[in-house]
Amino acid sequence: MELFAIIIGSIFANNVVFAQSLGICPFLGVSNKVGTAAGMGAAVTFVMAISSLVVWLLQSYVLVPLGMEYMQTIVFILVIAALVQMVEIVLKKISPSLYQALGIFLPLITTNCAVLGVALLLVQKEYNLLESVVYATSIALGFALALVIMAGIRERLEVVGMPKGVKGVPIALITAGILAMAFMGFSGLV
Amino acid sequence: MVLMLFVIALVCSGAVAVVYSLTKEPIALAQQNKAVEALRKALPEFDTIIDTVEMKDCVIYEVLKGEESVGYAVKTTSPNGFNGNIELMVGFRLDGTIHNIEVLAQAETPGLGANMSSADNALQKSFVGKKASKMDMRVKKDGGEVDALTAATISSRAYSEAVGFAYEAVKQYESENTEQRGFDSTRFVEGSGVVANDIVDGHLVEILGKDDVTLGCVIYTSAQGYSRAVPVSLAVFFDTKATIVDVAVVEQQETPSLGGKMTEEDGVLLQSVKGKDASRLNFALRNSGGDIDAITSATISSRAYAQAVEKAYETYKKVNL
Amino acid sequence: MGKNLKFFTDGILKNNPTFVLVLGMCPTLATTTSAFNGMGMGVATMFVLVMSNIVISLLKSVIPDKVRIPAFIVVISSFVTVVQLLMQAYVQDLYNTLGVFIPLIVVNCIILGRAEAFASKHNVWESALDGLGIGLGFTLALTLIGIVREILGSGSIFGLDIWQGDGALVFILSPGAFFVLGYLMIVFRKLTTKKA
Repeated sequence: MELFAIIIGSIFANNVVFAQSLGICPFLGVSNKVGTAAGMGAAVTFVMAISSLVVWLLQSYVLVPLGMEYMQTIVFILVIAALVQMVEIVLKKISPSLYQALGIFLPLITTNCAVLGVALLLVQKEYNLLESVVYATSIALGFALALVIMAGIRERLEVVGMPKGVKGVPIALITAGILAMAFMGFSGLV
Repeated sequence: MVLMLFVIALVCSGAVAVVYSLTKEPIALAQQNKAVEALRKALPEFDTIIDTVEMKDCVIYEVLKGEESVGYAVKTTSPNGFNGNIELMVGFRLDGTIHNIEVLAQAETPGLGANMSSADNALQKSFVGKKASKMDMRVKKDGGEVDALTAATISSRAYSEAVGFAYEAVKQYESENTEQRGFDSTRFVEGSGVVANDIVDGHLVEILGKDDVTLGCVIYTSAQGYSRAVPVSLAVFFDTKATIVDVAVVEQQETPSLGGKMTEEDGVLLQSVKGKDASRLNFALRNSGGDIDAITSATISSRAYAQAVEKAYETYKKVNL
Repeated sequence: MGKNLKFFTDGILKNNPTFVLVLGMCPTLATTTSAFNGMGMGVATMFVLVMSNIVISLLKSVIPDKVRIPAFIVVISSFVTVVQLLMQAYVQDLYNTLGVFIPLIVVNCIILGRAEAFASKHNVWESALDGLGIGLGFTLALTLIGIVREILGSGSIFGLDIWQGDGALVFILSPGAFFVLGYLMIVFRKLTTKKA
């Protein structure tokens, strides 16, 4: 039940993009086409699930015993950067087809603040290992959902006539604002 | 190449460690100042903090005004806020009433959950002035009696949870520090059990029951006797009609051949209270015109015993059975 | 000096990180719930930006090209940790309000972007000016968004009440952040294209 609440809460009510304002850069940058949006979403989900696992282990078995919690930010970002690199290499070796699909998005993920943000949040929330992985995966699914919905809308917006100053990022932001209002409706769920 | 990266990482983490050690004290100081400031708001007026204890992830501060204990303030944290931890300072008066609640840290949504920090919000009002033992600390949506902040159920739940933690910590602290010290009250009646416990006026009260029938309550009290180091601590067992069924000495360090006799089963002190209706008892010693027979040559010890029983009766009057 | 001044002013207008480059959107949206919060976030970011620009331009000759990105990240995250510690010590309330977005300065693309695009190619003085300019541009943008959201959402500026009672709550919540930034961006574009 607890886990179920985490899943629903993280995907809908606390949607990472619409409610927590994390991962906005890729959200605006990679939401032009539904296909690429889905690819990015999948890549982020993949990396977040692994990184939450690694970060949790690192926090519990290295940083806390050593009393070095203040080094959190530095350690986490380096681990995430290294991890993304490693995932890229491993994926290339093991599954070239998956690499083809996700490969180009992987380098972009290091600077996706949602990944580091989730790493910091799950430590702050004192989740256990299972909860951490479930939380991170659900957050990532919420991110993928937001990305795909947005891409669907923007594909339509492409063909709509509008003033030059509004085109591009501004209209995307306003659309996102309306979507965020819609997502606020989910906050009654949990 | 890798070496260079390693050197840079080493130098950087070294620098961070230096800054950490430099800011460690200001951070602790800032946190402490904030805690003391919150203490002043959470509790009635006081002048000294006598004790700081960590208990169940909370920090308990016990404060005095002059010589009198004022109550406890508890620093408590819930990790389940909408946006991270919610840290509160909850002030309890001696009778277990919540005096005030001060928010130490929160990062909830401004305009919604963050209103928990504003003066006289609904959330705070639902707790202040209530007896912690007598309230259901859940938000109304979950069946409790706490008014949640508008459109901020998660924040309100976390807030209530933190207050609950604080109360649990106080209960634990009281039971470890009051007169109880490992005494098992069920020995008064064979086959009975403690069905509930509470803190009333700073004394631990245990309700005894057997086969779904409430037998009465055991109240732990103490008073200063001949020994300066260890007060005379009693467990007084009342039935539901204010009759003192039995009294046990939990701890004492009076002179063994004199005041120490209070532990005897047929001692004069026990005999003068056992089976009596407390409401008709004058707790002064016989030589001062009261109903209590003192142990010969141990007036101070006897008076402490009588005072402790009287305190128990005063507390008993406030307990609803 | 004219050229140096240009490095500084470019960051505020022509290369404004928020309205023109559209970088560092997460803190821009999340922390601008009030003018003061927005400004606090801007100043914290500016500090990291200036310091990391200075250090990276000093180190540019010793950092091997292949590992420059990890090296930059190490430098930046160290300064972020320093900011975290300093804020905890001296402005704890602000630190608590900004929460997770302080450590997230590390992944603010503005900082890594300037390190890569500017500081690793220019001298210390120019890099410091660039950091200051971009940082100021970012701070001004965040403060402006914060002002607009605070006026509409809670009817005050920097905590001073303009009118009694509540504002439109939606502007303090996340949808309001998207709306305000979107419309401000349109206004900014309109103003700057007129000039050109």
